[in-house]
Amino acid sequence: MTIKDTIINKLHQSEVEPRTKWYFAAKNIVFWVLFVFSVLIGGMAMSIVFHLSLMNPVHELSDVSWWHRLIMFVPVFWLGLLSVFVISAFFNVTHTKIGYKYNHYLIVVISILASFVLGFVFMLGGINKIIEQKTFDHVPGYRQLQVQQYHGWMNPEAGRLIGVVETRSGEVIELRAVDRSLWSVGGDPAVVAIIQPGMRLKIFGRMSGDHMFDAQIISPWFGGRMLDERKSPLPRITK
Amino acid sequence: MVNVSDCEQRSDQELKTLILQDSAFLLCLVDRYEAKLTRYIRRLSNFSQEDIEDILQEVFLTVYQNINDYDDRLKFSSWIYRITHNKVIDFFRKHKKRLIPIDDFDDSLLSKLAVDPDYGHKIDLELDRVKLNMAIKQLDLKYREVIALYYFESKSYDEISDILKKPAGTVATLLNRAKKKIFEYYKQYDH
Repeated sequence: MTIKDTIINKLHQSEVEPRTKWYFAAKNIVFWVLFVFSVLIGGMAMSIVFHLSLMNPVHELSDVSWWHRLIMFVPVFWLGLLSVFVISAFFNVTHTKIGYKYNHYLIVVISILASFVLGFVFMLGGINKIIEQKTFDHVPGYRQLQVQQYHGWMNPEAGRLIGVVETRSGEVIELRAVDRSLWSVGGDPAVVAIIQPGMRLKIFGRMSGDHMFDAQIISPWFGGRMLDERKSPLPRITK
Repeated sequence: MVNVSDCEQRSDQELKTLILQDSAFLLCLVDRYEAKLTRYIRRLSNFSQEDIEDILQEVFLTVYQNINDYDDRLKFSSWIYRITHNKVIDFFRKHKKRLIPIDDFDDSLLSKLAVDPDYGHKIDLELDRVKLNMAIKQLDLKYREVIALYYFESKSYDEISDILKKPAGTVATLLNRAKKKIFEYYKQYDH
């Protein structure tokens, strides 16, 4: 049986039918949509990388080893996510009808640049903070990762606490520090009043007893601005 | 039934339109491409004649099934070579066969390589036909296919780019590396 005979048989038995133009058009569109989606997510990840890097509390310390500084400074989760979506953008664009014609390095560079520009735009819009907070609240493992990452910042003897607020009663907050210990923190009533459970805080002050702390400055984990605007700028604290 | 005369005067693009009206026109493409694609597969692989026929059946049925996917900006031959290339790779993965070529490369290819300015010395084709053939056969598939497409199938860089779905610059790089490897092999066994 020749190739022709087999083909004629299959065609007569209607085993094979041409797929419609729409099928291929849709397939091509799906790859472009996924490419755009990947760049958008990459942009979002990049905006959070900017936020976490610029507002990183490691800038305020001088007594932490370079290794701990590096661990605190590199936003591994978001850089990982950015890499995944740059790869996804590359994969999708090379699977479009004309994508293969472009230089592969150029596609990767353009994807990264697009994420960079979008990241900057998202940062200006402030969306990055909301997304990062939502991720911290809802994505399993992210909270744990961040808590691990900032172990090096915590040093109660040197006057530094960092952790997540569990409860607030009156002028005292209960803070679950990154080393899992629970601290009672007292501070300026005007500042403590605006603190809510779930907030991530870094606190400068001094130990006043066993797992008790007097806060002088209470700030968000990321960001140098104090919650209490009456206070002077953050001091540089050394051992 | 489609006659030979129905096919001969038609371009590939015309046949594409006709196939959508009458599937029998697919046989015109079989007539036109069967021998070329058979040679192409034999230069990429050591598949048996039966295997090659199975692959070709799949190639032509895929052409029919995906005829609406053919993009007129491409040469039709590039498109059908691309499908063949993909089927060869699929077949290789499915059957875990080694992709070593079965056919010797003919003199037209070897003579082009023998006078290639990238190789500084003159190659005596009469003496070195076997050695050059061995050199090509020991190449990895990615190099062998660009050599086969460029020298034997006389495809341009752009056509090879469309067939292998790689940027034209990458094709040029692969071709240069392939030639370098052939000449290195040739020199190694020249002494």
